[in-house]
Amino acid sequence: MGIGNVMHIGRSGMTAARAGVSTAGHNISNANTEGYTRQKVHQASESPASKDMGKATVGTGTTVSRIDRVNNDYIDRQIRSTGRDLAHAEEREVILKQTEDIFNEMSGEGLNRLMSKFFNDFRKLSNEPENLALREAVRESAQAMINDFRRMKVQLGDVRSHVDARIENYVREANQISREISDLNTKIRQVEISGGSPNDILDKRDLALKKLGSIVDVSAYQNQDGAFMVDLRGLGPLVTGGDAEQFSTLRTSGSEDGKMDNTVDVFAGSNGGQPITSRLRTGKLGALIQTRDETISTLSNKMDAIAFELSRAVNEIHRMGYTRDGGTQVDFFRPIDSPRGAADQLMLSDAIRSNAGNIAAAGQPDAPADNRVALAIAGIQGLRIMDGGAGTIDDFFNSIISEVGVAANQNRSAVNQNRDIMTQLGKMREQVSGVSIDEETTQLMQYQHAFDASARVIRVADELMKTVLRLGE
Amino acid sequence: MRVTEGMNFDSSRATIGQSRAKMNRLQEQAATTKRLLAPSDDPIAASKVLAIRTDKVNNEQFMMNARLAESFLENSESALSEISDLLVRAKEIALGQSSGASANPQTRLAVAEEVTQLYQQAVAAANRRIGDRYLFGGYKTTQAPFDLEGRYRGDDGQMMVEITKDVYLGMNVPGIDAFNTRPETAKKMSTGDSGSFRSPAGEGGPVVQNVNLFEELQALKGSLLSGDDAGIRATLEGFDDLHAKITSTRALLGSRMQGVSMATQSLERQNVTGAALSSTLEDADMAQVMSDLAREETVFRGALATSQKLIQPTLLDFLK
Repeated sequence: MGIGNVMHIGRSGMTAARAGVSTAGHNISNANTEGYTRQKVHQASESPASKDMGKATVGTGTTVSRIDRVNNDYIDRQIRSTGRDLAHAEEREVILKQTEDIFNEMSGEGLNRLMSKFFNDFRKLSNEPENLALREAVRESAQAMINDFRRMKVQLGDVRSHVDARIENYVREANQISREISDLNTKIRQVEISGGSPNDILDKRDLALKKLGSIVDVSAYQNQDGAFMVDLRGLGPLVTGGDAEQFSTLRTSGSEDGKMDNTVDVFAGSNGGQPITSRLRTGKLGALIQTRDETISTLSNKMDAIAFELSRAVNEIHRMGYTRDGGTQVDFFRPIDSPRGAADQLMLSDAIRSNAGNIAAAGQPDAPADNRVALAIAGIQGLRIMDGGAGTIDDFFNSIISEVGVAANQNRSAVNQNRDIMTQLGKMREQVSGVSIDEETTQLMQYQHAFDASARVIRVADELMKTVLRLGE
Repeated sequence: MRVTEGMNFDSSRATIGQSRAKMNRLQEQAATTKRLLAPSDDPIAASKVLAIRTDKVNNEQFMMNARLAESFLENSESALSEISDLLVRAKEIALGQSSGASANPQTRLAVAEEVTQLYQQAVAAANRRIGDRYLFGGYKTTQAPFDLEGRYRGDDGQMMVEITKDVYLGMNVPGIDAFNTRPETAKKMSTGDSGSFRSPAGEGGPVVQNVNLFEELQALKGSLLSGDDAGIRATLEGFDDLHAKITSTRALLGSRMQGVSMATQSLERQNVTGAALSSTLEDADMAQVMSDLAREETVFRGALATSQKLIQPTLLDFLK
């Protein structure tokens, strides 16, 4: 074993120390990079060359065996699934907040008040059926009530189109991320084939996977051929190695599972294909679809039911009554055929719109003070006409409000809960994979010393060499 | 345990954020003095509050109804009391003129003039109105219920008002009932079934019959003018019956007025209870809010102070 080998040992130490310094530097510079996993240099001693020194074996220096990411797969998986639930709840929160605002009359006007006013104006009319001004008041308050039905339906429609726009956005984003993952797969494969460890590309893929996982429910694994797979849970592979499937969106008509007309449907495949809307139930997309097709759709239907039953009940009694001029069989609201879209169609009948005198208060002609019909219409407020006789209109509407409240309230708890879990998981991940500046600084110093010492070894070897050369003088 | 700078910054951020969110919520409560700002703050209470509000608005309407009914009933009562007085006078006259001792054709002529006066007063009282509405015409409130001959031109419609939820009370007495002791002679013209809706209400059929208050007065006057002692005596019983009838109608009105005032009192009580309940449900406990706010501020200051400590110097600061 020659002195040259001593030089080689020194050089290997310097190389390893340089790798250590570089890695510590890399870690420090990425301390604030989202999704970055700290890297660690693994050093191993070089296997001894030969036994030319009798029985003793002299080592031949060091080598950098690999540079690894320090991560815990279990935590990463948990972060992905909690991240999905959190994204779901947060997305839902945005939409539910908007929905709640539509129904919020805790401070201010709202349909509840306007409906009371409508019935009370009929009570006022019943007190003084001779008075034309009171009929006009009834007509005004009926119109105000109708307007509020419309307002709520229009605003629900706005929320729905906002949801649709977000669905389209997320589908585009999911498509883009899927492509990105398949590209990264190809790169990782290349680095791995050449024997390297693609640490930073792996980080990027993890991050992309996390983002994708917050939009739709995915699971990632390696198949037998070593290809990295991303499955859309319950629906099949989304990314297979270097290939990515795509989604597409299209506005379609309504369906039985609550989807309303002319809302966005999601399809598997870039060019139509199988609709998968109703099967997306988690992540941001699931949140949007669930809120749109369950919550908003139910609310909208219930508003329709109120408008339908109200107009039907009022008309039924009103037609039996007699107007100021003795006319009868007059509709108060324009008749509506079915509950579907009733709140949008609710309006005063032409007769009432053209002349408030056509409001019938009397139960017989030629009886100016006969108030029986006005009383009976006011009495509708207390009649159990909703839900097949289960409750009054007031009960039903108030239950809608508390339904909206419960949905928003429960979701808020879900957000808080998942946020707490996420914070906890984030801490756990930081504990394992986070960059500690102190630690890296220590590493830096450690490797710097190693570098200095290795350089010293080379100098000693150099001196040894000189000594040897001087022997011949 | 490895603790990284990232963890320090993250937990500072989280604590400060949480604290700010709580303070924000408390400040909202303090500014509005309401605990319930949106249905999701307490869904069950929110729907209860709305129900109470509806009740309150309705109760206010019922109280207005009650006031209206009260004025109708009071005015009817005062008209009836007037008629009651003049019936007493008519009976006095009849008594005084029925025995030949104190009466002669001259005095009878003079009091006949008074009876005419009484008759006109009676018609005026029976045609009493509030504003433009005649009190005793049943549903026909826009025309005088009695003509000068004392013929009834109203109907027997009973105007009901809702004085509390689902409690209806008649606010008028049709003239045909008030001034008549012979209801069987007041045959109604049947109009058949005028509607099947669920409304408590009177009959409302047109009536064509004289009311015997005026008949009796006319009879007295006629007998006085013709000097018919027996005729004069015959009216005495009629006046007694009428007086009894009107007294009983006044008693009816009185009991209705009592009903109205009891209903109003119970509405007021309901409003008070409702307001109290609604306040418990939606109002913030200000003492609680303010003390919570003070506590949260301490927490917030603490979070800021610890953050300052957490963002401590690193090893680098000592490697100079």
